[in-house]
Amino acid sequence: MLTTQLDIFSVPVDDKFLIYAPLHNLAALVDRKAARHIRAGLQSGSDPVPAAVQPIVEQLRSPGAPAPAPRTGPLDDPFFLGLIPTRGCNLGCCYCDFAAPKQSSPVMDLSLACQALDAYFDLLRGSGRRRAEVHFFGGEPFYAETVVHLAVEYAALRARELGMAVRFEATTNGVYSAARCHWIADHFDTIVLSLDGPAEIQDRQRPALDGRSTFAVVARNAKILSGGSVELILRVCVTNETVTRMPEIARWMGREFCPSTVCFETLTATPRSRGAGLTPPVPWEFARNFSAAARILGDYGIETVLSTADLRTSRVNFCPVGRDALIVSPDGAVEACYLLQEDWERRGLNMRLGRLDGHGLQIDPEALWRVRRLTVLEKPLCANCLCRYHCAGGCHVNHNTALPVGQFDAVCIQTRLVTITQLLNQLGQHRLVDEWLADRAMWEASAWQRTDRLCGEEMRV
Amino acid sequence: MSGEAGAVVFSCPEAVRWVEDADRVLVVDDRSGETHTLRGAEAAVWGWLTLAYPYPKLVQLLAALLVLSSADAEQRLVAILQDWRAAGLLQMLEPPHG
Repeated sequence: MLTTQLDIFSVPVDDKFLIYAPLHNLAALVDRKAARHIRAGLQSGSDPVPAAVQPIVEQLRSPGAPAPAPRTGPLDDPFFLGLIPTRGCNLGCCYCDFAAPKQSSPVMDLSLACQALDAYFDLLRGSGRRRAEVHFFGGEPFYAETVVHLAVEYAALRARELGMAVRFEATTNGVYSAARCHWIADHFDTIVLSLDGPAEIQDRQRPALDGRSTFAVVARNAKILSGGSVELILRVCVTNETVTRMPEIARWMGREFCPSTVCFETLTATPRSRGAGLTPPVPWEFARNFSAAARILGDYGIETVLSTADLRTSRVNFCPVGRDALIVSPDGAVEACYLLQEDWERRGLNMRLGRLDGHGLQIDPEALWRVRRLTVLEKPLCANCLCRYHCAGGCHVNHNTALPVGQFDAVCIQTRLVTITQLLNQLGQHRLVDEWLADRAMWEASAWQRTDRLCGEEMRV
Repeated sequence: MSGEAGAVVFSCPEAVRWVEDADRVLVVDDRSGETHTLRGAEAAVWGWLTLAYPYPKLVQLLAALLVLSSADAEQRLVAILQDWRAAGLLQMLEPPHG
């Protein structure tokens, strides 16, 4: 049996089985008998199989795409250069527990931003790369806007001198003037804008530091970005209060803005969010409303994404960690993760890669090796899950994957339900999705399966 | 668009329009039909003027962009602004009285 055939999964859905092979780019809904024939056909190697399942078995017997693997070798193709102009922020989101001071966080020196870009371009030039990618994170990156305004122009100038292409991306709260937003629309390639919904939702969940409404400014800026050449991705934080309103949020966003993608992410519970009476939504309720929202957004030509159930690529890393992203903090530390040091240390992780100094990027090879090993391949919980190459275990900091195989938590169940929902919808099984998600026993049978591997010894078909 | 240069305030005449392209800014004067292509540092300064940065900040940004001393950056900035004034892309406003 080929190693990629181990990555063929099967999940019961009602009286059928969803066969999913991400590395073979195959999804099929078959009955129990067909599932048995497919498994037997794969285990036997080349024995003939019934004609009805022959095309499926043939495709699954082919080598498929290589399984995604951790990075190896020298640091010569960073995923991107990340700049954190400041950890400060001008919003007082009721679920944000970011420990950095909102208003008094240090701001990156302009010279440090230029040094980081110089070092990054030198690294790319040294390895013959022609494309650069610069991302801005925070806090709120535009809360230290001068750093961004300089860094973008400096990077563009350096790229032009070196004959390289450069892309810019930022994750932002959208609270700035129209003139500033026009500048962003003109200079950036992708903007991930946090907007939780219509006015009462946005203002409840994402007020300004002084408690004032942010809705009008953010909605205006979403329209400016919609009218520009920049790719707009809207990011919605879904809570227990807003989960049933996801279809309404989707309809409103489709009508008002022109995003390429709406990313629905569920709340990560914090003491602050609990104090505000907000909790993560119930997984099956999220999956049901995600499905409805995706259909609405699909009619507008907009993609709907849950980051742990993004079926567009296969990966072993959920986030930039392990993909050689170099994220520079205001103090010159170079890290693999844009979260705060105390956050990853609390989880027993060390995301520090090195430092930026007058001689350039000083990356510790051992640290690079250590961080590259943080992949789904090292996460027992995920070993037999059909989502392993999409979710890849989720956030290293916020999702505990040091659990026995198949001992799923709410994040896993949500990811599994949304993944199965999307696969069934791709197969045109919309009615089955609705019936399946409406029947607790049915979706629980799918979600709580200990192993999804079709050819695993414990798989029952 | 308007920006301060010391006590002086610059603004763009109504007839001047511009568009950002991938690596340049195209500035069009509707009165004459003339088009000006700004690249590199000039494109950056134009963008910063749209953000209404005050003159000292423009000097600081240009110095960082071109790795110049403040004095050299200011000299360069003055030359750029003078060129744009001469081409009718910028006009000087009277400072407010009283």
